[in-house]
Amino acid sequence: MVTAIRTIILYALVIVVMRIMGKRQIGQLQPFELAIAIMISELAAVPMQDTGIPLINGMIPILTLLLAQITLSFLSIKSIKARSIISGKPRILINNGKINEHNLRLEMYTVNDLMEQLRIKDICNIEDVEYAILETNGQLSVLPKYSKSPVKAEDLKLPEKKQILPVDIIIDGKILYENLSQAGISIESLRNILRTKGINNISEVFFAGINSDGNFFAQTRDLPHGEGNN
Amino acid sequence: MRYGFTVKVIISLLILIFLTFGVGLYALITIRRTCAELYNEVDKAEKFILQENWIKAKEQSTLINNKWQKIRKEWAMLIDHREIDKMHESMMRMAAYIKLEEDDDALVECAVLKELIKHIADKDSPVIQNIF
Repeated sequence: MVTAIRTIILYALVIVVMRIMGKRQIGQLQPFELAIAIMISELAAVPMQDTGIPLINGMIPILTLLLAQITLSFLSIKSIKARSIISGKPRILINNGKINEHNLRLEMYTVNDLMEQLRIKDICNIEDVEYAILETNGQLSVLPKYSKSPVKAEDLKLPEKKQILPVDIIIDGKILYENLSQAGISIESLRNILRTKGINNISEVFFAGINSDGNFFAQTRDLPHGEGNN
Repeated sequence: MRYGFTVKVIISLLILIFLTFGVGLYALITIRRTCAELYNEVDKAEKFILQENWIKAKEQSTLINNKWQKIRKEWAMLIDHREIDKMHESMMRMAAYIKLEEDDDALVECAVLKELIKHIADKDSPVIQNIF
């Protein structure tokens, strides 16, 4: 019982701390952010299972790490110099189709690692790469040579087509009113659109929304026969 | 807009500093105060035992026990419960020896108790030895 309550308290604290730290924590971690994420999980786990340790002994270090993280992030935002010290600088690993050995060594990156990353990005030849930059979060950004770049609509001189922001309107039978008004559709017109697609009741809809082409899309919940509407 | 963001971050940082260091400081002050109180009381009990004044020693033992019951609750939020259990065992042993008027054992237990109290008071002090 006590352990469960302590776990809930610590879990809530970690969630709050991770939310305050920002979305970057979940996706692309900087080295200092990764260190903090690992430490927080460890710090929360110990007092969770050991009821002999006062909860405060787990909470104070977590809050101290949050303090350190916000300070470093704030410094990174405010000063370019601080940013380069805290997060490092992006480094060019391939320059005009040629591997920069010096930078490769500095980053302790092997040629195999580099080739692997290029292959993941569908590039098999180094000479096809104009620039490959190792970002501060460890990801490799690749700029292929112009002749090897994927063809764009612009290159084919295709007429320009405006893309709009896709909006979810109904999820699991529930209307998202904020998105509905954003899309400029009234409930009555929504019902009419659904009726034209053979859906009479909103609660039947599993998902409905407007896609990037501006078309309305709706799918009903799975029926016993697995039927659906599009 | 940018200025507002800076102010918000600085305020959040100040709140966090206040929270972390405030709680830490509260814990430190509470532990030191209660340790000093307990140490003095055990010291008094030790003196009564040395004078073989068992009536006073028993009164002192009851007083220590009452104080300990209150301090124990306060400590539960701040100190490792294993340390508290060790103190409690020693406290109970000392009370029993005083009750039985066993001067040697009671004196040994007083010395142990004083050492435990000193250890708890020193354990969380912000000194170089504790940091490294």
